[in-house]
Amino acid sequence: MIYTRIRGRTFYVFIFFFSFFFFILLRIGYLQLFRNSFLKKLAKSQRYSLIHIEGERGKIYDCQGRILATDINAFSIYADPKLIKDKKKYSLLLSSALGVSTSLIEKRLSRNRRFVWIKRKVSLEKKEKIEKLNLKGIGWVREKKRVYPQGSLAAHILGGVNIDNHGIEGIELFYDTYLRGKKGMMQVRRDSSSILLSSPFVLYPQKGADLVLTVDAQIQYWVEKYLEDTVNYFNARKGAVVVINPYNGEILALANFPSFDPNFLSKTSQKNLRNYTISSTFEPGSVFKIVTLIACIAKRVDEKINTIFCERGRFKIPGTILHDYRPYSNLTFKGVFKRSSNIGVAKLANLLGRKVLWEYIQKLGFGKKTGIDLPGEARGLVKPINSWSKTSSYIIPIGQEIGVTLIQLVKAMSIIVNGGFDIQPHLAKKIISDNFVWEKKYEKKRVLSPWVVEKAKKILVQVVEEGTGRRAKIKYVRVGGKTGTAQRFNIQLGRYAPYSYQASFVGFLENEKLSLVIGVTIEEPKKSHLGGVVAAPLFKKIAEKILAYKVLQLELAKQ
Amino acid sequence: MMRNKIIILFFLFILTFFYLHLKISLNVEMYKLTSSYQLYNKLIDKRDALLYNLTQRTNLKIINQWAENNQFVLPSQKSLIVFNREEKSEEIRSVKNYRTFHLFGGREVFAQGR
Repeated sequence: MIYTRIRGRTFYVFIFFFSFFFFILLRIGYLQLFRNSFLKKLAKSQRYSLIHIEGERGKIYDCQGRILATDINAFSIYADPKLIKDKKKYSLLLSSALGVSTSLIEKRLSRNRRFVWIKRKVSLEKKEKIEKLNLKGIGWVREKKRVYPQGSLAAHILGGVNIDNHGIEGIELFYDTYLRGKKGMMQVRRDSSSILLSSPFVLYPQKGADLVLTVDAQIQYWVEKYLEDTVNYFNARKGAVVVINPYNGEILALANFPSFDPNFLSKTSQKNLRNYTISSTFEPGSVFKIVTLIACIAKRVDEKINTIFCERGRFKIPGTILHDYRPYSNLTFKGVFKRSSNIGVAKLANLLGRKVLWEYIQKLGFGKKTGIDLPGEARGLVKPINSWSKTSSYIIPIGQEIGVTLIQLVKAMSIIVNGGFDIQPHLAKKIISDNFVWEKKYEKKRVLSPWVVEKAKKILVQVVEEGTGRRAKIKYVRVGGKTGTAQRFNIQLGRYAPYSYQASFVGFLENEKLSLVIGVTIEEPKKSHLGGVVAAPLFKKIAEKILAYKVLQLELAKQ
Repeated sequence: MMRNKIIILFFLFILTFFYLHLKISLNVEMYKLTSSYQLYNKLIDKRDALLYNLTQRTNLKIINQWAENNQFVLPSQKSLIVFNREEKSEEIRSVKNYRTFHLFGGREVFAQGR
């Protein structure tokens, strides 16, 4: 009886366990056979994940190997507002450590999200400060930060990048595709305590190519310093300088004042960001007389005439009256350019005819882009020949009714200095990557005969020796150039403003070791408005410094 | 029959043992790799912070200002530059109006001050 009861209980226990394990088996079978792939994916996604590794942006060097732009590791601080209870205390602590306003942090912490940035790209010191505070819900991410160690030096050349390290201005934008690094990836595994473990499955990030510029940072420093001094001394609105090697088009320095610091690009006003050397079009005034000079020599007008009567400073032309700075009567061909007589040049241009003048405006590269490797270059404003008025033939040769950029003027002077070759001003010397070194070859095309430019150079040297550019004269060095003083057109007034001038000087210096072209323009100087007084001394200061520096470099190279 | 079973079981045990051993070694390597990466990143952080601080203190603007404040000038053709590849001599060092520049490669240059 008892035996039968025990057997009956055993049977029930057996049935219970059997059905329990049978259901488990069924469940296992179902999961293995029907949910296999889904569960596999789920498990993998919980254990493994891919993290992106940022590719370093290429460095920018000057021609001497000084670093102008580089990437460093920086830290972006974030918060999970859901984990933070005392938001006021947190915002006070974070604000004192990061230098961000308390109200801004508090505003961010009160958002209904699981992730908010507190501050992006802070230094190691600041990150360590935060770490020491040991705040729950605050974390950091390692990122790359673009740094310009030389501060505001060469700011208008370098430009800058945005928060995601993409070029948005200057050379950073122009060569962005080369400089930008490629992102890499790494598979990481999460262990039981949620620690991420690196695995050998890595797709390494690619570093962007390095860029070597033609710019010499030391020369750039002097150019910027002297430009700032001049603009401040003459209480001018702004100024710009370009220094170029006329034989190969390499730009040694390019500066604008006021300038900015590319490390703080987002805080810079749009006005200061603009690169006036390439994007600002202005009426050049007498500097533009080099076009008439070249055209006259090429057409042998200088050989046909002895003197030109300059109407004693007042000459009626269709639509207006031309004036000279001083009343001249008879001037020789050289004298017209030495004294920068508007009337003399206008008469010479009229002898040439508008077609010839137009041809040489084109040959010297006005009205078209120079092709400099910077974004935002302007073409300048050159009226098509069929829309020239009767006045145009007289005033375009003296640099009115025409718009040029400083880089165009410098290029035109370079053609005269280098023996008549059209060159392309450029900033990039080399692009160096892990796999290749790219050195762009810039083509030279002859546009003027050597005898023409040689004659023109002699006259331009006399402009500095005895003419309006005397303040640019340097002892023992052959210096030539042309001054320019132009009244500025005021768009609001709809006419030339009475006391607003543009003072310019574009010149060259030559000795057995060195040849340079330097273009200077100062907008709205106050104490004086003459190119020969405002711009020529700045040319001299820069040229003297470069000469001493280059001679020292050559001496050191010999040693 | 029994003997064969024991051999199969032994082989199974050995294979499982090696498999587990490999798994554990792989995990150990991953921990090592992770700590190496962490150390590497920390060193890079330190290097970058030092580089940043150095360049902030020694950029061209500061160097040029220092040179100007100490009245250093670029030598003109009339100035004398002495390149000394030999050991430093106290006599030369004490010459009035000359300053010492240290160049890369252990060379020294004595250039005239204003």
